[in-house]
Amino acid sequence: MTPVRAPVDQATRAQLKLAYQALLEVELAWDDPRYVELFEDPALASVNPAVRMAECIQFSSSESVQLFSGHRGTGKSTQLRQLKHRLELDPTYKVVICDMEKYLPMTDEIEVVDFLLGAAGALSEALAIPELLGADPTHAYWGRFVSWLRGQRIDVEELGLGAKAPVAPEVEVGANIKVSLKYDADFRTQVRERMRLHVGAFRTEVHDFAQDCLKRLRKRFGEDTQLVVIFDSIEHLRGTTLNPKEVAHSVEQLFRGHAEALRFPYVHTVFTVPPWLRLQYAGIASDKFDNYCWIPCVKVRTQPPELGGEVLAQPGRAAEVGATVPNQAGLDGLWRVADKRGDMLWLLGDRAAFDELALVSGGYLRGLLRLLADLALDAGSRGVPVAADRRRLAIDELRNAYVGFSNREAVWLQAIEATGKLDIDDSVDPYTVARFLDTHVLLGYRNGRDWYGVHPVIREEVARRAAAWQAAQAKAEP
Amino acid sequence: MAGGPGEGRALTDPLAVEQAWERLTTHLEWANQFWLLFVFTDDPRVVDLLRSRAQAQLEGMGRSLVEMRPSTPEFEGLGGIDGLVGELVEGRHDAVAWVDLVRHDGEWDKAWERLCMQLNQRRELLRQRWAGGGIVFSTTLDRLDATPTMAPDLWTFRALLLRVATLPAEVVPESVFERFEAEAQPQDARKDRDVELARQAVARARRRSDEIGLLEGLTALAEATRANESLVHAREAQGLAKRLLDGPGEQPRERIAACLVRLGRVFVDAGERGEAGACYRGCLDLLVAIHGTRERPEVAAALMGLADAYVRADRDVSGYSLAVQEPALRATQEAVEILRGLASAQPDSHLPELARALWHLGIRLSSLGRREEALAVTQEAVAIQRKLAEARPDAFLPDLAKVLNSLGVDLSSLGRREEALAVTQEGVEIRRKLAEARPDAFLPDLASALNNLGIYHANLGLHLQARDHLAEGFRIILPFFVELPAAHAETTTKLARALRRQQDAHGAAIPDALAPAVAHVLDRDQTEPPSWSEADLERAWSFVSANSRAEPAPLEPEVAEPRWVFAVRWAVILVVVVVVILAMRML
Repeated sequence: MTPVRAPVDQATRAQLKLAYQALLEVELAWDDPRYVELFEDPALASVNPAVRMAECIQFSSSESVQLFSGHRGTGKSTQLRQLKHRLELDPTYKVVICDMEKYLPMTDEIEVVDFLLGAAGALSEALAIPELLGADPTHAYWGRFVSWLRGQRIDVEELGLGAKAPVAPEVEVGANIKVSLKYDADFRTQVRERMRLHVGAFRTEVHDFAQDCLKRLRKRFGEDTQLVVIFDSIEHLRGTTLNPKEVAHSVEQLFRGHAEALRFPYVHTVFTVPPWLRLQYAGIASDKFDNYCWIPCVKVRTQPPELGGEVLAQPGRAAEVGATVPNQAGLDGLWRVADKRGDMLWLLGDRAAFDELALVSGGYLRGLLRLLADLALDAGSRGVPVAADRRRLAIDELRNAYVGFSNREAVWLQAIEATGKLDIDDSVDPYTVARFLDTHVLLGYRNGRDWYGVHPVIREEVARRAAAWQAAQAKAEP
Repeated sequence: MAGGPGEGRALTDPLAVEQAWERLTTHLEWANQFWLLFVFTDDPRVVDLLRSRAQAQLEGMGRSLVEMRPSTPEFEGLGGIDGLVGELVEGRHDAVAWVDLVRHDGEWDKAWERLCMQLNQRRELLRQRWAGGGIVFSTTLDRLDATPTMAPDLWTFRALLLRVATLPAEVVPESVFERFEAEAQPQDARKDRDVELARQAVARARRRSDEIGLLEGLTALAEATRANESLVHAREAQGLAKRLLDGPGEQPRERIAACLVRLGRVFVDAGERGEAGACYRGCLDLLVAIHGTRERPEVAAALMGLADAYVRADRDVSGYSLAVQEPALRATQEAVEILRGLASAQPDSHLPELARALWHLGIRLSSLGRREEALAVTQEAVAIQRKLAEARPDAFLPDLAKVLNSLGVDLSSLGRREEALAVTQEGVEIRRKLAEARPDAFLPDLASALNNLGIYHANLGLHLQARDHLAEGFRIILPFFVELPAAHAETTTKLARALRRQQDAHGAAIPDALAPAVAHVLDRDQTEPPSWSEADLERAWSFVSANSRAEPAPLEPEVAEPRWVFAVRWAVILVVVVVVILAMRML
């Protein structure tokens, strides 16, 4: 029988409710009073993404191309908004953020033609606001694209654009192309086929368009004007369960094989890319990208020099040989973030309880906030501070969201945990890496250099399954 | 989060439904911005329960819940996944959507994947268009591992993840559904046995020192009498049987065994599980000793009785529990195996028992949460009953109707609501025919079946039709309830609750003629089982007296129903009434 609990008083519940709401708030604006800039901490300042990307742009003499990455929920969008804000403190910088998910299908393979068409369309729409170029349809890229096709003697009627593409570009032409590009696989196929011999010309056309945009901006705002275009959401390209490898390969090909197409003359560009693309960084013509910047998880533990052999410290037990050494700067940073959203001492009783949860979260901020929200919810029935056994149960429950891997994959995950490196095995395809990074089974950190680890909450489970796999393999061998 | 410590649960077990509800209700109260929530469970009843509670809570807060449930795993077309995506993307600002894909069959894995991927791409639209509300996604537990990969952004946004265990069997009696009690054997004439004659037979046997005659007389008297007196006679008979078997001399053991089976049933009805079990076990030993094999119909019957003793008596006391369900299942499985063998050799003789045993087996499996297996055996039972009913409708149509009802419950518990509705509809039609011929015998069953039919309609969003079926059932059961409140209180209360729910939650008003009686029943719906005072019964009886049982007040027509359907329906009713009147005149 469930024991009868004393009801939690209304005042406590009201405070818990506020904490719950604040902890679940997904994206705080950078100017929200509850927002805490983790990277302002001296210990983390060296990896402040917004600062690093802004400096790269400001120090470039003409154009620049940067790649930006990070786990979901680590604050990429906030950092991009910060970057925009930081740059626009200087009025010569005109910064637009283009959400590429509105223009490209995220579940199909991507080719450079699709990407450039989407990028040009997105740029023209982003600039069509009164503060920049205004909504002048003659400047919209979609109509210009139809004219360009005709100029190349590509049959626009066969692409389904002729009927709605009068000589003068009009709005519905744009709507037609935009919708077809995102949702019509046949349209994309036909465009690729028709332009197979015109890829170079099309790249030039898109670059010309970007430069025309810059010229119009300079005409309006002065010759010092700099255009910064942030192409967001490219990291969401992931395919379906039927084509994940093909899609991952196509993304890799786009950045490996067409880096020059992504460099728009005189325009500063930032592309958000999936974290697994970091793997290929050395091989994707790194000299053609000016910077690779990513948001690591907050380092809540230090990586020992020998790598591997780390075991999460059990609460209530002193650190043992080989145990995790908590990184106080990271824990303090997370504490500041969480405490700004709700009184953590009141909720959890003491700082040690918070540190336990922060260590378990692996420094993945959104995961930690959700864990705390979960405990606030639980406290709504049981009162505060949250008891140790309830924390343990919350952690156990959290584990269930991370166990979607096979025993064979556990061997590979365990090896990553031991070495800190992702590229340990050529047999592991980018999609598998992407899947584990996407779902936070693997977390990335920066410790002077980049390193990766298994989410702490499943570390023991990974070890157990890896051992089971190896035992099964040993048994199977003659 | 998992349940409290010391609650006897492994740390990573799914939550019990009440624990899940505790978290869900607080979340609904507290959440103030767009949110996403995942519920993973294998039990559609869990979803029904949580959703209906959430709906009541939200409506109490002046908000609404929209149930979204595709009728097909196909991507395109009416009721398909893409339509659901479109509906979700359209949004309802501050409402809460409950997406239900707790479906195990067919292509639902792919449907879930499609839904996840489509919505993951449209997450910003979801966020904008449900800005003040949220979306609950419910699906089966086995899809938990793959979901983060299919919808990584939605997964990252989630506010809460609830893994919820299958409801235990004991919840079934409290559910909104009616599952007809499966008797171990067909109801025989024992309820019609004259008490006085039974007393005379006992007296005669005593006078003659006819011990076997006394055993049979006491058994019959136990069957004919009620409550304590029945138990007194049954215990005397049980003691006598034991003495006869232990004593010297050759005894007619078949007759003793037959008495033990009957006594077992008496004990079951009295809630005396221990004594019932002793009777059936004694009978089993005896039968095996007599025949040298268990492959006998009598053995199967005793096994069925033993299973019945476990579950029925236990339910009367404290609800079903695993401790009785598993042995009950084993006994029923053995009975089924025996009857399969016998039916293959002599189908005409043993198919009816096999169908009945399969029906029981389905119920036992369902009680243990083995719903797919339950469905398979119930389907087999239905198939056999259909054949039997085709050949002898008078004898087997009642059983077919009952098994169809069970099939409806099994299908519904697997989320196959449309099919559940179809088979329940068939069962209702059979009951209507039966009730026309023997109203007193079959009208209560018809009312129960209408309860289920109403709820299945409601589950599919057909609330006006649901209301009509429930109202008809309530109108039918009320006079029986007034006459025998203990026997019919549960069905009456369920129908009243369901009617009130359709009115309060979906605007399907209770017909004026029934509203006072529904209110009256629900006013007293405070205890389980309800206790009904004389005054309560008097009020209900007043209502029944004022509203003829034979000629119920017509309900207002379904708003969405075409006029021609309405006209045809009433024409058919008119014809039936005329035929009945003519038949009565001829008699």
